[in-house]
Amino acid sequence: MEFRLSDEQVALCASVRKLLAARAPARTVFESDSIDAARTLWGQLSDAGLSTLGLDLPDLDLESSAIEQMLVAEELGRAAAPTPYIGLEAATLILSRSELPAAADLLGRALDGHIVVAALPAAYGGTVGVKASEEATGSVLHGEVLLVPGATWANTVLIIAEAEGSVRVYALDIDQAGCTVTPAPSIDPGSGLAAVTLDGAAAVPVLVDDADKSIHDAVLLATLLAAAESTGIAYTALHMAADYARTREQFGHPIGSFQAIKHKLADMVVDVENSRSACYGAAWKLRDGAEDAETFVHMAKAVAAEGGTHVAAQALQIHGGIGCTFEHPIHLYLRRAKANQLLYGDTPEHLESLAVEFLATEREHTR
Amino acid sequence: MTATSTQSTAEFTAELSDWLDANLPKGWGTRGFKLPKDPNERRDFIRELQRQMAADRWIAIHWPAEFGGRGATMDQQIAYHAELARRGVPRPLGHIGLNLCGPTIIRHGTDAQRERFLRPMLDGDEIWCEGFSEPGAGSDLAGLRTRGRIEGDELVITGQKTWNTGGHYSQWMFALVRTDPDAPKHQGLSFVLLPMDSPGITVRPIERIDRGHDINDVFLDDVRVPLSNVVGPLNSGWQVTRTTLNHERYTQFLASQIGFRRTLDNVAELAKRTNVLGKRPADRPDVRSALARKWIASELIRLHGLRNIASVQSSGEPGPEGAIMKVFGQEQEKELYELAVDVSGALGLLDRGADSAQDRGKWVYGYLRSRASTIAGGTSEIQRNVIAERVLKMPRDPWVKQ
Repeated sequence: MEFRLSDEQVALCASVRKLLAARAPARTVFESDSIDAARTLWGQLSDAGLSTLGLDLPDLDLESSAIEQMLVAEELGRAAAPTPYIGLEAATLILSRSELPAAADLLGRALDGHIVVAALPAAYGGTVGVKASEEATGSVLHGEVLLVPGATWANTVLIIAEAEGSVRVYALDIDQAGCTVTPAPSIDPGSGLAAVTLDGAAAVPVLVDDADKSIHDAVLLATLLAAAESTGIAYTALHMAADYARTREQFGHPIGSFQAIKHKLADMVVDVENSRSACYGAAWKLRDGAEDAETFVHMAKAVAAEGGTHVAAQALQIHGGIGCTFEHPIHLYLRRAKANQLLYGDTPEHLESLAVEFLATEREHTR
Repeated sequence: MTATSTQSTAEFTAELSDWLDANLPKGWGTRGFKLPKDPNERRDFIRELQRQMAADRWIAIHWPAEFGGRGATMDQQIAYHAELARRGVPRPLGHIGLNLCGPTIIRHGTDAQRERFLRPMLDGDEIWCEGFSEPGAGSDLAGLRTRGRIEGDELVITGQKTWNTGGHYSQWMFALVRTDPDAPKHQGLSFVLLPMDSPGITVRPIERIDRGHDINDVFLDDVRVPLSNVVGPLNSGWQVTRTTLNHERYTQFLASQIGFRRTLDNVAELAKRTNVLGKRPADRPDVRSALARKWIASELIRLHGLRNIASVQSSGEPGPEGAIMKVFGQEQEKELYELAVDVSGALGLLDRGADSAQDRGKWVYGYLRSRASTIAGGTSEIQRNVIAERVLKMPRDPWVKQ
């Protein structure tokens, strides 16, 4: 693990940053045409190559990995952009593992900007609650996925369902009869949370063999990307607070010259860098297919998700009264940070996973 | 120090490994092999090994080749520390000199100073201590008042240094003294080298919180040294010091990470082994998450270090990770020892001598001793000022006098 970014990786970050800076998308989720706005934004990001990340595509002379996916997630976080990115990266990972023509077809459409997100019960700590049955016309799904990030904007969702004693992944377009996507009002409209209810909806199997392994990997990836997004959230919140502290004067001096503010900011820098180190550690491990990659994803999520909320909350505090208004953008960052903290496993859960790992390894060690 | 080595890290590591195979005493690393218990014998043993290593330029590998080092790259330094740690090779004698004073003499010293001081430093024949802090100059180091009066070709030094590590066994001290009391505080200091057996030097031990001793007050009463013992121009001591101290040893994190992890493993083992009123601490959710957080901290120390090196290598400039590592690492160390005491509940209070003391009271010792972690070498508060002012460009405190 050397953590040196390549020129291509630096350029990728710069292009995403530039595109988002021109659109300032964070606030659009509170406008009446928010769904169209989010879909348009994703169309532009997809054109810029975001839907091909993490895939090895020799036909397109393209190869990228968890490192690029992680770096882009941080950029999206910096802008608090409302995108289906995390669910979509999880979906393309699952589709790319399949030999089925339906999967290849859907993956091709996803690369062209079609929004497909994976409905992972792990996003809210749930278990598989959908059953698939085979009927003369094909596969039919019954059940519910409670919270699906990005489903508000999706054209297609990947559903994990039990079929004949095993787990499979199905794709269904959301305008199918028997499929209801209900956007869920939440602390963070920018997460695009929606419930997906299935009442006899017709669906196409896209992954049948060894689906468990691919779903597991998709959850790991989504968890890392949520952590990386929180790192970006924290980064921007920190710098908004620092800019404010440098210019806002009280008692005849910038408030940033007072140690009460200065030390808070320094601790926020530590939080941001801890988050970034943890995400880098996990992304490099995932890229290398390291055995302990999962451990490092737990670490990244435990550190960055908690750090993101903490930094955003402290940034709001430093803004004083203006930070409590709807007009000031800092709340957009706090909202997303809190959403990311509780999605894909909260901090105590990831800490416990680490404890199991650490204390068990230790036990073997001492014998 | 500029890296000049053209060897690949793999070649470097192979050469080191071959050297250690050929030169470490017989039986090294096997169960039966132990370093001498007696402190003096142990010291002699380490010095003998150090001389051998120094002869083949394996002691201060970050120094330039012409002064007995290897101009090692950072990757080589990481490989070096990892290999020595893996084989349990003890730290060389006089590491304060090797890491702080040596590089200063190499960078700012005269040829005569380099000729005189570097070789005995490498061989462990002359041990160096530091004379920076004073009773009235801690965080505000540049406010120091030890006075260096010029008389002919001599400097006559009077004042008091404190928090001096190892003055009672060192042959030399490098110190900052005020040679121009009329100049602004950062511009009147000089960096000077003093023999510890000079008339007028009194070393008085300071008893640590845990009752141990390695730090001292050093009283200087008209101590005379030749002006040729000043390193760099007269009154440029602050700049001379800063270039050395700012040249962070980027590979230092490895040793601290290895130490942190070793302590953490011991705490985890304690939490699993102990029975506190019928319950195993390792089964308590609060202990489990606290241990997980400390595991994270040990990995973050390592990851920050690697990122810091990547940042120095790609931009030539250290990133903010240096000060961040420091404030994070020192807070974490203190918390780790606190956890070590807390896992045992009331039994954790027992010190050596008590029958039921955990691990013969070593955690009580660690808890007390680690109080200094967030104070020595720059308090956490000063580190936070540095981060806010240098990384985020916050204005200085309005009342600070320059």
